[in-house]
Amino acid sequence: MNNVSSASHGSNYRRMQGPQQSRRSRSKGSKAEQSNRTDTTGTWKSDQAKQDEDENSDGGDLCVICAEKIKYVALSPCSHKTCHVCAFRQRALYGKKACLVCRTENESLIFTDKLDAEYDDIKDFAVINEEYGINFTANEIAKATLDLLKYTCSICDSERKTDFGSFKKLNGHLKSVHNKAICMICANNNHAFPSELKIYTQNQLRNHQTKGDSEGFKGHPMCAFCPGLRFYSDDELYVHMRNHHEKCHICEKIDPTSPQYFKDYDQLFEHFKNCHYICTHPTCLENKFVVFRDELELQAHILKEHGDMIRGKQRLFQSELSTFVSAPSRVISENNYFDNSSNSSSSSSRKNNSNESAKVKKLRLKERAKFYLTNSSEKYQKFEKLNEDFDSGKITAKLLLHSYQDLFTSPEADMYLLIHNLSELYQTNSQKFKDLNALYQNHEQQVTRKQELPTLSRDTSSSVSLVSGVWSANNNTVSTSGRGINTAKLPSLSSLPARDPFASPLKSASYKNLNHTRKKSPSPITRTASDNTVNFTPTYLDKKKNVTSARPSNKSQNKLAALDLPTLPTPKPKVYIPPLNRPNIPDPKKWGKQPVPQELTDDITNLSLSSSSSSGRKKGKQKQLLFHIGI
Amino acid sequence: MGPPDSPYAGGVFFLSIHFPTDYPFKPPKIAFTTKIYHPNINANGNICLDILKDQWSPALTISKVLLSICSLLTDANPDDPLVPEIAHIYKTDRAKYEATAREWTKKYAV
Repeated sequence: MNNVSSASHGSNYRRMQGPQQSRRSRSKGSKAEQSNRTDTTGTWKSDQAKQDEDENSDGGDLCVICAEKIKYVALSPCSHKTCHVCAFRQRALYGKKACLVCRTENESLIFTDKLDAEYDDIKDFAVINEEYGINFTANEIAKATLDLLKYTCSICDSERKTDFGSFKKLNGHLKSVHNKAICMICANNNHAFPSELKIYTQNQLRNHQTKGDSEGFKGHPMCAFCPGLRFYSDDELYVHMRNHHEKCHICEKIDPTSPQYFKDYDQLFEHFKNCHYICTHPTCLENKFVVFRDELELQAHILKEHGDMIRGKQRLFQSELSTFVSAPSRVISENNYFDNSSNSSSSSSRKNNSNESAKVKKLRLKERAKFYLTNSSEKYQKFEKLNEDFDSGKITAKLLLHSYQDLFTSPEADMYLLIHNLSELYQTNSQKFKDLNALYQNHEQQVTRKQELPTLSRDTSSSVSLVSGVWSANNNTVSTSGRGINTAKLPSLSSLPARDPFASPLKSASYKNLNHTRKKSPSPITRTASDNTVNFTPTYLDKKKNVTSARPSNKSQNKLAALDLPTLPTPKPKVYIPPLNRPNIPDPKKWGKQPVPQELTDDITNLSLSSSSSSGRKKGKQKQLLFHIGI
Repeated sequence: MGPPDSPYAGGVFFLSIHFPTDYPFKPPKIAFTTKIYHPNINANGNICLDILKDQWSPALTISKVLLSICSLLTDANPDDPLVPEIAHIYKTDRAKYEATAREWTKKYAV
């Protein structure tokens, strides 16, 4: 990874890459010029890399794509050189006319054996191939190039005389004459010339397809539902799964890393029924995929789409509702998922780090040190030595820090982060960890103190206007420079960290309030009472209760409500329920009167609006949040 | 390492690089394995970067690609986001975005 200067180079690179810079006038190439040219193609390379390149061009021209020695060179109008095999592969097998280096679309290329020539110098061609847009300067180059496309047997026909015309026929020949085979999956997908394909015995072929035979290749993946059907790579398998099988979009929402696939909609429907909340309304069943990840979403859907039904044939509908099978495992895992994300982002407890493997921690320390030392191996060895000394108890933590300060001289080096990374390699109850951590925490506290001080001094002059003022004035420079602005922004930042998309202080505060009031006043609360934005006091609750009970009640509706109520809360034990929920049950008379879940959704919007941090999140996720807090 | 002039400064981010069999004619698959808060990088670590998709050129090297990723960390592209929520915050409340990104960096990459 890299530092600032290289990063800005990188963005230049992205901008510069393209046709506009490719047609540069150049004098004929001496070797030195060639290496210059590769550099001016808008790329950045370390000095080391530059040296390597010089050495390479001294020893003979290497193709920039395949790193093989160039026998015949392919010249493009945009003055880029590659070997004839790579250029021909791009044109014949990939069917693209873009330059391999700069992506310029070129109508024609020149294939020649004069390695130092330029595109504009060559006017005489022996063979012109219009199909691929290639002009050859000699017959044998044309033959060598076009022969690459021939389906010849490399075992019995080194002269390339018999062209079988297709991979299938070539494979047939190999099978019948030599009892060998090529991998047809590779043949159809690999964009390799026929002669480049490996020839396997039957056993080798099986090995190649199931387990993989080269490094990094784990075999062609197989579709779990279509027996024997293998694909070239995960990409092709994914396309097949998308087109021929069904994916559970709810499971994917819950855990995007491991999507669940099913053979067809019938199996997927079974899964919906077992693990999620499906809407059993006939039109929804017909429409398919009307399924929700929790009961609340389903209820919201029912009220929105089938509101008339709930009023009309309530009994029937209720019985349908009660058929929902609870799915404990799914919901629990879902809860964990959200708990994880909220926990890990809610405080700076570094809970996540304890889960990381020791290997990652070690690697992090190593990479950080290397970066600070600008990859100097000599200094890095010193660094290792210091760590060993510390490990064997020869030097103390403080001495180690001082040695670090001598060793790491670069301005961006942060010794305390190194100390922190090192401390994590030790057991949290060991003395070494405590020593190192004490150093780190000390420093952290100092830094936060420094950051907090400006707030105090500026508070009187309204820090809000300060921040916004700085912001709008520097709006243009923000993305590029940033240093000065960063410090100016600090006062506001120090108060921010607690706020993040998953756990806002406001919500947790109001949640506590709820619990608190619950203890004080065990009086029944209707669901509407969970309007969190208002301060919760027992008097408020009482008022609410009075209002609801004072309303004139419709008798027939009440009857229905009394019948229906018990079914609704049944699936709830799946989810963690804060105490607030309990009063719902002993208060059945009010259920039918108020369109409760609708009000709940109103609450959701209130809640999320009031918590500024979650404003950017999707509606569905807001509901999720409420589900954990409100009910 | 996160670029110094970005909220990712000080963080050590790990990436996984997968070379397809047709590399270099097909782009390598690069993903973050360290969690990062960025409009163009999603929760799985997938990176939305043109040169890793259709703008790939076989002449690009891994060091150049990593460079581009570094510059993506400094200059995010909120107009072509992978995580619209973060992009929205990036556009409307840059201070909050930077604070969160810094927080995540501290939590996951330090």
